[in-house]
Amino acid sequence: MTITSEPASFLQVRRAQPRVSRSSVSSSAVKSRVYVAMLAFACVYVAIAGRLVMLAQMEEEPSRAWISAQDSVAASRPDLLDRNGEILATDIKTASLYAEPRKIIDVDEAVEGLIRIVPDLDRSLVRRRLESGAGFVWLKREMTPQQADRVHNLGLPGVGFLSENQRFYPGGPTAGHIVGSVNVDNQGLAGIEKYIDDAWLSDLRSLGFTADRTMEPVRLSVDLRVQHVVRDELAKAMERYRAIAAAGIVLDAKTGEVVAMSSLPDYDPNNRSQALEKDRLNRATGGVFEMGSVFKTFTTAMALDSGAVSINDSFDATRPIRAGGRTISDFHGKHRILSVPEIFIYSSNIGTAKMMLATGIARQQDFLKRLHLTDRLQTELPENAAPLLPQKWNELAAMTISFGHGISVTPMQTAVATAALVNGGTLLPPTFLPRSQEEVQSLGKQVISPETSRMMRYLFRLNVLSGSGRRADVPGYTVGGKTGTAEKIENGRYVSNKRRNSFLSAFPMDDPRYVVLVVLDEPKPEKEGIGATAGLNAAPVVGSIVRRSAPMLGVMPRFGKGDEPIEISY
Amino acid sequence: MVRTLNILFILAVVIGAATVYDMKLAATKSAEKVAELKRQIEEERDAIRHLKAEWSLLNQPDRLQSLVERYNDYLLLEPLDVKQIVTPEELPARPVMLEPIGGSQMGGYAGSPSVVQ
Repeated sequence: MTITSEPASFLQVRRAQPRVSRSSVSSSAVKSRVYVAMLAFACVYVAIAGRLVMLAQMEEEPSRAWISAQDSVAASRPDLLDRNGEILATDIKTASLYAEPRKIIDVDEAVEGLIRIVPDLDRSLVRRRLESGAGFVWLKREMTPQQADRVHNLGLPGVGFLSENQRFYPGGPTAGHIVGSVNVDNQGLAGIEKYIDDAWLSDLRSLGFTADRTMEPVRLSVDLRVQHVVRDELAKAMERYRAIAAAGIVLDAKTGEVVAMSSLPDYDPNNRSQALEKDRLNRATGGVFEMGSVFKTFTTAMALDSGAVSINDSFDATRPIRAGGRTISDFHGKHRILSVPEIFIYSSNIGTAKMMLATGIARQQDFLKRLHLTDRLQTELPENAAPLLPQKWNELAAMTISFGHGISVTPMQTAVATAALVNGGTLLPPTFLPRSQEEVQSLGKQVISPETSRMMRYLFRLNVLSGSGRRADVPGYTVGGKTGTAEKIENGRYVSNKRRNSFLSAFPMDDPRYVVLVVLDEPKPEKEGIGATAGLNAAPVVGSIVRRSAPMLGVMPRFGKGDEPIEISY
Repeated sequence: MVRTLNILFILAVVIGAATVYDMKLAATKSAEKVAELKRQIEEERDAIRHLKAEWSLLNQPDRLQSLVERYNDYLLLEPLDVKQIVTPEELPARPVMLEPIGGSQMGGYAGSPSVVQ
């Protein structure tokens, strides 16, 4: 029974007449219904709270392993381009197979299916991995798209794919030593790949910014076409002269950029296992050799630059020199008095030793140090060998060093020092990255006077015109150079029938733009009866390289007056 | 009066809920479409990179050299000769053929076409 009372809220309206309400339910029943409803809601909230607690306590192992795996494999690397924009190294997305063994229901079915599609998996290893209770295991990385499709069509639970960036080198072995290679996790192992890792990429990766991000490509100073020419000519020469190894460098004499660098035998960076073989090392920067007669260019430059010897001087080369119990004599000696140019083009050991003695041993040490031939030459590549110097730099050592034995340097150091001799006297450190003109100005060091450089250019050209380098000449491109036939050392003694031949050259000689150095290891005579000196095998290789690559490098041929007229037709 | 207000409010709630649900659904659909487009863009970028790598592979100097060596009986290509490289300044002007004034009825030497360089 309700009694009319004052309205408690605005929703209750005063009635004019009190209404007799007949309640069919008692108030206690209403109260209990309310309590039942409250209990129901409380149960629901307790259930939600309990589930929250359960979720908070659950471990995140499976997803954490998956996330870290995806991060590490999706790490991308920048493309490597040559100086003209040709691709030397790039990323390709491939599928990598992983498994979550906790989710695998039937291990046997999974193993059978996988072995059928990917036969080179180790059955016991796969079984062991799938039966372990781990959250995440790799099964096979970098699969082909067809294999990935077929595994996907198997429909196995707990087996999935992550897309991985695989490094691909379209050039194959062409620029193999320069570009280097990477391991399966896309970390650089050798070459420029390792250089950019050390410079900035591994820091970026550890901060987490490389996951699946396209990066600006890195441009190198290498020209792919010239690199191919050098490698092709070295391969042909190795076959023709049955040499055991070869190395070739083309260096920009004015800026110090490396345009081509090849060392045979080399490896295909797409095939990582080959990189570990010792024979396939980079001989151009990683190997030190006694360069032989090409070193006479440095001795001659030193003698002319010091002022102790002038280009019109003559030295007596009639008799061999005796020093420290050894005899220094000439190969095919002329046995007469030779002028300085004749000493150079006839490659006289006696004359060169006498020129060195006229200059002095202290000046020789200082000069070679100035040309950076006595210290390790640092390039962007990780493999840079330190030169081997004599233990005691006495008179005998200085004399043998003057014609290239007794000191071992890398071919790259020789080429860099030669560039300094022919470009007007500026020594520039070599680089595989493009170099601007301002950097050239700031990095260049004057090591000889421009007048000495002019004389060296004259001697180089004279050697090709009437000396041992005749076979390197290419009409139209004034090539100049020096041959070097160095006997190799075996068991501490010089072996007469094993040589390391090199030809050190620059072109065009009136204003040299490029330095070309070719080293052939143990070339044999091409036919029976002819010799195997450098003029017969290394010089023609340089001639071929210059003839094929000069148009690509933009060097215009120059013919003097009185040459044949140009034939044209309209 | 209260009842009508109640009914109005209930209707407003229902319409408001429906509108919010609609907007949320549209936003979800848009987000899905954006994600799908982004995925397609990534796919296209990957395809472009793949094609660039393939083009570079096909354009390698040693591959072209081996092709030329293999098919040179048909291609008849020869290595570039140094004498074939000239600058435009070295080329003489093209000869001009002039017609004699008044037609070419003249005979003898005077009637032959003249060449002026």
